[in-house]
Amino acid sequence: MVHRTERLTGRRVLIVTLLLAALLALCIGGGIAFGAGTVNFSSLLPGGSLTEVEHAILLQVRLPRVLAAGLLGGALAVAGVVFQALLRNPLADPYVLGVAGGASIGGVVALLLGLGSVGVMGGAAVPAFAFAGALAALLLIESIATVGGQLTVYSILLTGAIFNSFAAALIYFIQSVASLQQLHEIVFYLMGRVPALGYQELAVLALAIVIVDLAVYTMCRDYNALSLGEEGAMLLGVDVGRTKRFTFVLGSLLTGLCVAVAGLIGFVGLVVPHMLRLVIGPDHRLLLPAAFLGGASFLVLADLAARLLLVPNELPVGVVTALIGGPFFLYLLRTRGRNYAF
Amino acid sequence: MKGLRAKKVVFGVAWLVLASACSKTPPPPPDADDGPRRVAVMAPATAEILDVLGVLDRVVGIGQFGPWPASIAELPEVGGYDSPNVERLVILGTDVVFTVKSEAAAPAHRRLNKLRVRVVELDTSTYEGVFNSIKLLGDIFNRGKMAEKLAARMRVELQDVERRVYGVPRRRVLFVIGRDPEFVAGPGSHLDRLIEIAGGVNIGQDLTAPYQQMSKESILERQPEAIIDTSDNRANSLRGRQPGAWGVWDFLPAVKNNRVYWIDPSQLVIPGIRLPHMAQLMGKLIHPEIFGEPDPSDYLALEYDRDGAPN
Repeated sequence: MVHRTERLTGRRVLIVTLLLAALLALCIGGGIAFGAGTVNFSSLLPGGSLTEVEHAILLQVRLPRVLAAGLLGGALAVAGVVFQALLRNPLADPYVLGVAGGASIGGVVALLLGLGSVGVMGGAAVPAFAFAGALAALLLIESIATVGGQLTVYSILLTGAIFNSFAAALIYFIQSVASLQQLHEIVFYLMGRVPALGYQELAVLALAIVIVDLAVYTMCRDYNALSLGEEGAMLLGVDVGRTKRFTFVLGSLLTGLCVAVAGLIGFVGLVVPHMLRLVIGPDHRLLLPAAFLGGASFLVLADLAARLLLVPNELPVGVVTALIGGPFFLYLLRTRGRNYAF
Repeated sequence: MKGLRAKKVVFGVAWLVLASACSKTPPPPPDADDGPRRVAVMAPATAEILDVLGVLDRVVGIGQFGPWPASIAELPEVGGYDSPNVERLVILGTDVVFTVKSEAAAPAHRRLNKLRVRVVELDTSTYEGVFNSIKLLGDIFNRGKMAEKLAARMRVELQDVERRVYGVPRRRVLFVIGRDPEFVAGPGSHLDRLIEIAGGVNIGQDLTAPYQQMSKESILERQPEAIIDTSDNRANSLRGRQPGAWGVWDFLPAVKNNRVYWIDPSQLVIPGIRLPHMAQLMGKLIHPEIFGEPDPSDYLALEYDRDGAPN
C-alpha cells in the first residue's frame, strides 16, 4: 500500500515507471494480437509467411492505430495533469481552456471547405487547419486572460470556458448550414476517434509530443510547489507567473495536437491523472511520466474494446473510455479514496 | 422612428392581406375523389411519383432537396424532414404534407394535424417502402390504376435485371457511403436489396443497421470484388472507374480486377421510381461483362430530364 506521505525515492520512480511501461507493453501486445480481422500468428514463426491480407491488416491498419492510440492517450493524460496543476482544479481536463474549441473550429471549417477529401494537401488539411485554430485560440485566450501583466487562474478558466461555448455555438451554426455529407464528416470528426495515420505522420506526431512532454517535465518541481497555492510556491522560489504561462502554452500545444488529429476523445485527460494520483500519489516527478504511460495504456485498451465489441461494426472510442473508465475510477475512489491527495 | 412605425403598419397590412388570402384558399373540393389540391413534398422521391401520377402541379411547397424535378425547384421551401416549417405550410394553404417518419418532427406533425394540414409519412427510403408509397399515393389521388401500372412496370424491369444474373456466381460488393471512418450499406437498405438483385452479395449485410460504420479490418478480410464509393458528393471530386484511395489495398480483388467505382451519391442513394434504373446501374458495376460498361454520365450527379418529356 502506497501512502501519500511516502517519500519519493529514485528507486520508487524507477520501479513504478518500469511497471507502467510493462503494462503499456502488455496493452500494445493485446492491441496488436486482437482485432476485427483474423491474423494467423503462427505464420510469423520462421518458415511461415503472412498472407497479403494479414500483412495489410497487421502492419497497415492495426499497428499504426495502436501506436496512434498510445501517443494520443499519453499526450491527453499529460495535458490533463498539467491543466489540473495549473488550475488547481480536479475537474480540469485538456479541453477546458478553449484550445479544443479553437481546434474544433479549424477542423470543421476545413471540412466545410471540402478539404477533408483525400488528395488535398495529402489529407493533412483538416489537422493543419485544426492546429492553426488551436494556436489562434491559444494566443487569443492568453492575451485576453492576461490582466495587468499577470495570467490569473480565474481569468484563464473563465476566458477558456466562454471561448469553448462560443466555439460550440459556431460549430452548431456551421452544422446547420452544412450538407448531409459534410454533417457526417463533422459529427465523426468531433466525436473523436483514433485516426488511421501513416508511419511518417506517426513519427511527426511522436516527435512533437515527446518534445512538449519533456519541456513539461522540466517544471515538475514547480507543479509540486504550486499545489501549495501560488503564494506558497512563490515562497519556495518558483517564478509562478512564468510557470503558469509556460504551462498554459505547453498544455495547449499538446491538446491542440491531439484534437487536430483525433477530434475530441473524452475522459482520458480527466480521469487517468486522478486514477494515478490515487495509486501512486500526487508527486509530479513521478506523476508526469506515469500519466504518459498510463494514459497510453488506457487509450490503447479502450480502442481495442471499441474495435472488438461490435465486429464488424466499430464503436466510437469515447464511448468506451467513459463506459469503462467511469466505473473503474469510482471503484478506485471508493477503495483508495482515503489516500487521495490532489 | 416615424419611418419604422410606417414600415410596421405596411408589414401588418401585408400580413393581413396574406392571411386573408390564405383563408380564402378553396378548401378540398367536395368531389374529394381527385385528391388534395395543394400539397407539399419533403422528399424528391415523392415528387417523382407525383410527377408520374400527373399531379406534380399540385405541389405548392418543397423540402430541402436538389434541383429536380425542375418544374417545382423554384417553389417555396417548407423546411426539412425533422423541421417542417408549420407557419409556411399553413400560409401556403397546404392540404397534405408528404414527408417521412421522424421522431424529431412528431410535435410539428401533431400541430399540423390540429391546423387541418394532413401529414402523410411515407417510407421512400427502402425497397418495399417505395412500392408501398406508390400504392398509397395512388389511393390518395384516386389514381390507383396508374399507380398499379407504374409499380408493375418497375417490378418487371427489376425482375429483368434479376434474370440476367440468374445462376451467375455472386460477387462480394462493398457499398461506401462515407469514408474515414468507413460507413457502408448494411441490411435493410435499398442498396443491400439492389446489390442482391444485380447479382452481388453485400459484405456489410451482417451489420445491424441500414447504414453503419464498418471496421477497416473486416472490409479487407472480406475481400470485396467490387467497391462502389459514393462518399464524396462534391462536383469536382473523383469520378469513374479507377482505384482512387482504394488503390492502397492492391491485393483486394476489386482493385486487381478494376472494379472500383466513384459515383455521385444522387445516382444510387435516393430510391424511388428510379429503382429499376438503379438496379441496372448496379448490374453494370458488379457484372460489367453482362450488363456492359456504365456510361460516363452514370458517374455524375443526376440531371433531371423528365421535365417536358412525354410521359
